[in-house]
Amino acid sequence: MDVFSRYFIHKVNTNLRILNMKKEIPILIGVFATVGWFLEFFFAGTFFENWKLFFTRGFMSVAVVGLLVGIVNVLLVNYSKIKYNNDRWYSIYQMSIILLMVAFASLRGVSPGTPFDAMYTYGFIPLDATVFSLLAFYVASASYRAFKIKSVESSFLLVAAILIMLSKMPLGEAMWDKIPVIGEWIMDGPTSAGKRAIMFGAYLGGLTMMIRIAFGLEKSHLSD
Amino acid sequence: MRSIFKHIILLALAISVYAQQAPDSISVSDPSADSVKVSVEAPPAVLSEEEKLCKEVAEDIIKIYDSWSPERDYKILYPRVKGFVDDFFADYPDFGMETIVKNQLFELYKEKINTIDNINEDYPDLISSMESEYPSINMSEVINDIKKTGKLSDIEKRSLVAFNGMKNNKIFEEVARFITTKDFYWGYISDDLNSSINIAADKLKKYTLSRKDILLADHEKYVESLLSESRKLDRQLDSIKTILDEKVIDDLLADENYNNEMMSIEFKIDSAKTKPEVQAVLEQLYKNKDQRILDYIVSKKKELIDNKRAEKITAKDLWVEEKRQTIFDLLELEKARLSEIVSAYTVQLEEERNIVAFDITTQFIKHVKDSDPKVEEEFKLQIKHKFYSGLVGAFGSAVIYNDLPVFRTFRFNVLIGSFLFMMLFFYIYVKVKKNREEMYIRRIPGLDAIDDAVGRATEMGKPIIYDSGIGTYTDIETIASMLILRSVAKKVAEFKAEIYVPTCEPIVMQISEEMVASGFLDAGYPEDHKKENVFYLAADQFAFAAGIAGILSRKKPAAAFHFGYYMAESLLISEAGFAAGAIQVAGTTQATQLPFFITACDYTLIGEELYAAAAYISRDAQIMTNLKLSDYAKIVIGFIFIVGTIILTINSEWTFFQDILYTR
Repeated sequence: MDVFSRYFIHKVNTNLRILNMKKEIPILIGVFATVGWFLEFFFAGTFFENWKLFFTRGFMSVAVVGLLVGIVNVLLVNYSKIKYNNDRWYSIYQMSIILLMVAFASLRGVSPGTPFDAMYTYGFIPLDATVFSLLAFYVASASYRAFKIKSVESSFLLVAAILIMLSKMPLGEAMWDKIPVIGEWIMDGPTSAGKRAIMFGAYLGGLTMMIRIAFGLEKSHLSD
Repeated sequence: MRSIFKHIILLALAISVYAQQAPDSISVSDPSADSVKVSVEAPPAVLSEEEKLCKEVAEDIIKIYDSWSPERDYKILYPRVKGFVDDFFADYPDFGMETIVKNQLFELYKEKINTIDNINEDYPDLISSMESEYPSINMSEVINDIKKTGKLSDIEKRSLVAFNGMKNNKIFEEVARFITTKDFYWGYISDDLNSSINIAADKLKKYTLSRKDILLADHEKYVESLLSESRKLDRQLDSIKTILDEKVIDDLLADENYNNEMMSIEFKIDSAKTKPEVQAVLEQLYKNKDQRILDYIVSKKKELIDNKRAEKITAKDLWVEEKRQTIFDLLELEKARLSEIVSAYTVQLEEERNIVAFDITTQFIKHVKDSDPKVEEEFKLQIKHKFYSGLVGAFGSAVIYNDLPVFRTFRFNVLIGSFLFMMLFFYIYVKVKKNREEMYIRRIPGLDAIDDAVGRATEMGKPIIYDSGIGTYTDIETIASMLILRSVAKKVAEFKAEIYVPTCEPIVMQISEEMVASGFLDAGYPEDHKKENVFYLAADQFAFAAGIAGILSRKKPAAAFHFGYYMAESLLISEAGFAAGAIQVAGTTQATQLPFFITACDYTLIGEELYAAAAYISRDAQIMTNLKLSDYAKIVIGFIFIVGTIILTINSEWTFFQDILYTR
């Protein structure tokens, strides 16, 4: 085999290896994106802005494709449920609504006054609000459990909770004019101190994780 | 450890030395600064360097404008507009003058009309002027039609007069609206014409201002003055709080309103003529504890404090707001200012070319419809105006945005801090890798419970539900959740249980699927992984919550894990899990959602424990670094907190430490 052929085969092999870099390429993209973002914070200029913009747009494109994947997944999962008689009616209902909305949107558009808009405004939004409003009942049942005195800490919690509740309603002020002040102090003092400590730890944890991803040390999300 | 602290202290000293030097630029804008108020009406005879530059830019703009021909754009655009207008009128033949006028009149009078008989007497010119403007309309017929329907009110009569004065009529407005909202017109302009503008604007890039920092530094003094003002007010407030009552009298004497008022309430100061005399009388009254003067002084003092406090708050707020301004706001300000100077030199151009607003007017559409010979000239002028305004606008970014990177020196402290943090990271990374086995990690009960929960699921023959909240894959909590998912999936595979992972985001679904597959592979049972168990539920927050609640109540899982980014749906999900009787372990960094999880779940990972979870489960060196680095960073930052608190407690004016750490 002559030198040229050997070189050619070597090149092909190298390129194939590049094509096979399933983990390295995402890591490289991650490193480039992070470096660009990092430098943009310190350097002004169109170059860094465009760098950042490139990756932002890239992410948006991926998200759009991802949405398509999501819809296909929903259809497939529900199809298999219908086929194998597993929660069939929920799936039939969901599939029919999805297809109906897609059909309406394709045929009549999505502008106000169209059937799609009507389904969204008079179907989806009230349902969404209904689920949200369930929260009120859940808060009541959860707080009932939380206020049971099991230990010294929970008794502190109960006292604090009662004070806060009283401070938020006119009755509390009518009982004693200092209750709103105490309530405010609990919120501004101990509560926000605890909250800040949690957030502080969370930000530091997030920061270290970012460094790991930025330097390509974290590979487990790429199933390494 | 000691050597780390030594290095940190040395670096901190270096930063403090750096921070003592005047910063190159300050990110606070001052709309009222003198530099902004450049007189564009009458440029001074002797031009400053900046004005010379702007003049050059303006001359170049004029050159580019003159050399640019709208022929190409006219040839592309005009047939489209003409075609559209013709099509529109062909599609709506009813849209004639008569229709419009009749419609308008009927709309005005169709409900109730008092009288229309005397309309000629009340408004003698109305009918004749309408007839002259719209000769094809027989006004007497129209009025007869209206008569049949009822009578006319005064308001409606006035409306009729107003209608006569209406220059734009409905149809042309309609067509204009259609044309301007259609992509073929604006779309073309925003793409092709804008690219012409950009090419032209590129020529102006030689004017990039390398002295941007100097321009911005003009604001430094303003910031400093605000800062000192704010500190002064702080001191004033402190002094007011500890003010002596005698001092209040002095202040009151200096108050003109107070004096007038005091005179009117007939105190014993009538005889006192001079200020010292008045003061003496007041002091006497005060010493005698005269109730009226005491009340007055107390109220006045309160008012004084309130006023000073209000002043202080306003100044402080302003200062804070100003500080919050980013460099881009300043650049915008600079851009606007320079554009103003440049436009002062191009005003002449606008006047000469008779450039008016770029818009599709009814007049223009009339000309297009009638194929008026004027239309070509008018249309070309419109395109040229668009080009001109685009050019003037584009120049701003060409001038301001330097292609060369400009280092934002005011963020130097952040850069140093970042490098320090990274150095610390690598130091700990190496250390952890060497002594992995000896490394101590505190017990996290929530994570110990994962094993039990998975075991319970196996024993009960029930599935496990794992969800990662509503975060996207860019959220750090979601990434942490994915790492935990992998470990959980591994345990699930080892215990031969079943796991369901509903997701809120398609990309997260893909990653989750990959994580579960990896977990099963790690355990050595890749064949047990069921791809369909990881699925996309809904992108909407509450639809997702409702979906998970439904799955929890139907599947009745033995265990439910909620790790990731959660908002209001946290309680909806965890309460459903509680109702289903599942062992629940949750973890989030959202401080507002933690109370809900703590209440409804058996175990909760609070804040950073979410990030520690993966380290805890896997004991991986990299992930353990995460944990250790957080701890070390907490020590360092806690140390900084204490030092800063001590310094500011000793003297509130020693803000040098605060200034070093200040980020913009």
